[in-house]
Amino acid sequence: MNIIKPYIKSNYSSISLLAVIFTIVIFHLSTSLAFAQDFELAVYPPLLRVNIKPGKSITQVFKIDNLSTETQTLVARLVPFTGADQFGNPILDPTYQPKWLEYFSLANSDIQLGKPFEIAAGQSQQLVLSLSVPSAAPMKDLYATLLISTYANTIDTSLQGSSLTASIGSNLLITVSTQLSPATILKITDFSPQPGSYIQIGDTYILDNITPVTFFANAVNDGDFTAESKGLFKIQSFSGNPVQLQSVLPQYIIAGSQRKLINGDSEDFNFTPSIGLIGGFQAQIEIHSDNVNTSSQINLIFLPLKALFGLAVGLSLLLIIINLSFKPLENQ
Amino acid sequence: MPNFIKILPKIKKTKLITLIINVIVFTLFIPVPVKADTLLSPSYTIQMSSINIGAGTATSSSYALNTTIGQTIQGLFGTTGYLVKAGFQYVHPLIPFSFKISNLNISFGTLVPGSPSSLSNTLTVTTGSAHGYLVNTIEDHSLRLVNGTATIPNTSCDLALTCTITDATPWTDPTRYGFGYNIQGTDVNTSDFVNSTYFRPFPVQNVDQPVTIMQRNGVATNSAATVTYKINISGSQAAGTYQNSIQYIATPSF
Repeated sequence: MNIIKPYIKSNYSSISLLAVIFTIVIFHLSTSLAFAQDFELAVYPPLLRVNIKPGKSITQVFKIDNLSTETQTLVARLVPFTGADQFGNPILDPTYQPKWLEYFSLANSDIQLGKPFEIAAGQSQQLVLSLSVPSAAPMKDLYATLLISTYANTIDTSLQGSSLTASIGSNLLITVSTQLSPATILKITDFSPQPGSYIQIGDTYILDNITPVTFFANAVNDGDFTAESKGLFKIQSFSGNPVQLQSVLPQYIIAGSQRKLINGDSEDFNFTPSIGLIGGFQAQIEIHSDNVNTSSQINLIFLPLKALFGLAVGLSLLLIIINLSFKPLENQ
Repeated sequence: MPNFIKILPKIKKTKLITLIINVIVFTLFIPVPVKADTLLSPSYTIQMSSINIGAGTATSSSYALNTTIGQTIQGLFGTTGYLVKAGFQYVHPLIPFSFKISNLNISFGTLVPGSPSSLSNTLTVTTGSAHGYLVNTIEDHSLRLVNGTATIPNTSCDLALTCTITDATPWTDPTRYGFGYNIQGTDVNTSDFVNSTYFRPFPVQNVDQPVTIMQRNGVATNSAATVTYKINISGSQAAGTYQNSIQYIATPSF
């Protein structure tokens, strides 16, 4: 028994030592799980439209809400853009650094553009953006997005994978001009019914009078200043009697861009004709905004194509039936 | 007389209560002069006569008025020299544009050669009063060894049909190595990310343009999409910790 005890003791010591070594090794080699840091930020307003004379200044408050569960270190910066897609999404160009970016600054005493600042969890911060246009500033449009991004100058060295950064933006459409609504050039293009729903002869579209039809159109701004797509879509007879009226959703069309036109319900221009609608009509889109007037129209002929086709099929079947019915009689 | 003396303290008490109520009421409702001058706060100083800030919805029994943020009196461009419109008058109500990412650290831990690892997080967008949005993404570089130059290349998916930064294709072959992502959910291009086996490599900063992964041309409320990050390394991959930074940019339409 006395011989066994030291053996057990030494065995216990060995097991304890092994356990400690094993624990250390496991701690060093096992995956270091990074803390699941979340991010949720909100910004208001999402759009700022300003018409301003050279030599004037304005300020605008942007409210940033930190809706995440921990303090966020953020950076605010202005990223210019010169183009947008047909749905009004800016194509940001961080490498483009025009001189007019100097017109902007933050009036906050403790927050600057490009410098990190903190917002505690569940708290808000107001960014007071100041725009001061010099008296000698050229008359033109300035487009930029105020981007609020998470700030991280280092990545946890134990992280095996990707560290994510998030940015949220608010768009600024600025027109610098001595006039409130400087003129621009707006064209309505590609105005037509949905492909496949018509037969086209010259400039006239022949449509079925019981099949719903969708009309598409784009507005192209070839001028130097932003235009707004306030207007009306209508289908009317040649004598001017309207059979369909829909508002065109007021959207901004920045200089040098194209935008898809939609109706006031944010949908395409859908029209369901009635069975009695037969003959020649006109579809027209008119844009009447502060700095531009333009319109486009197409000729439509509504015919009971499906009804005629059905009638033709029916008559054909009837003729076949009659022929088949009479032939045996003749043979008899 | 003795009765009067008894009543007196009661009257005094009533008067005292009335006096206190009057003081409170007058203190609360007395007009306070407001001066439009230099505005000071611990966080900012504004030395301008007009500041444009939000309003909201005004209601009464006979009317409801929705207002956007803007200058107090519009149409004075000729005298003030500016006109400010903030927000969208035609979209209600006035809710902020918000963007949420469920997890900012995509940590794969120990990687096993030839055995792909996957992790996911969720992107959520609410357009609020904006009329549409898009979410773009870009990475700073491919996964690179900390304090080294070795990289885990961006995936080109299965050899039969390789993927690009704008074209997702299946990535199921365990002998195809690299790092890529799949996205499934609302406002995602499902004709490209057909199912969860379709992957793309991330575009690389200073080489590629950011790529759109979520988009809606209209109002979105809690549009959510799940991004799955997949990594697969070869047996010859140098040991160590590999990292990169992926950026998600959510912008509203104008």
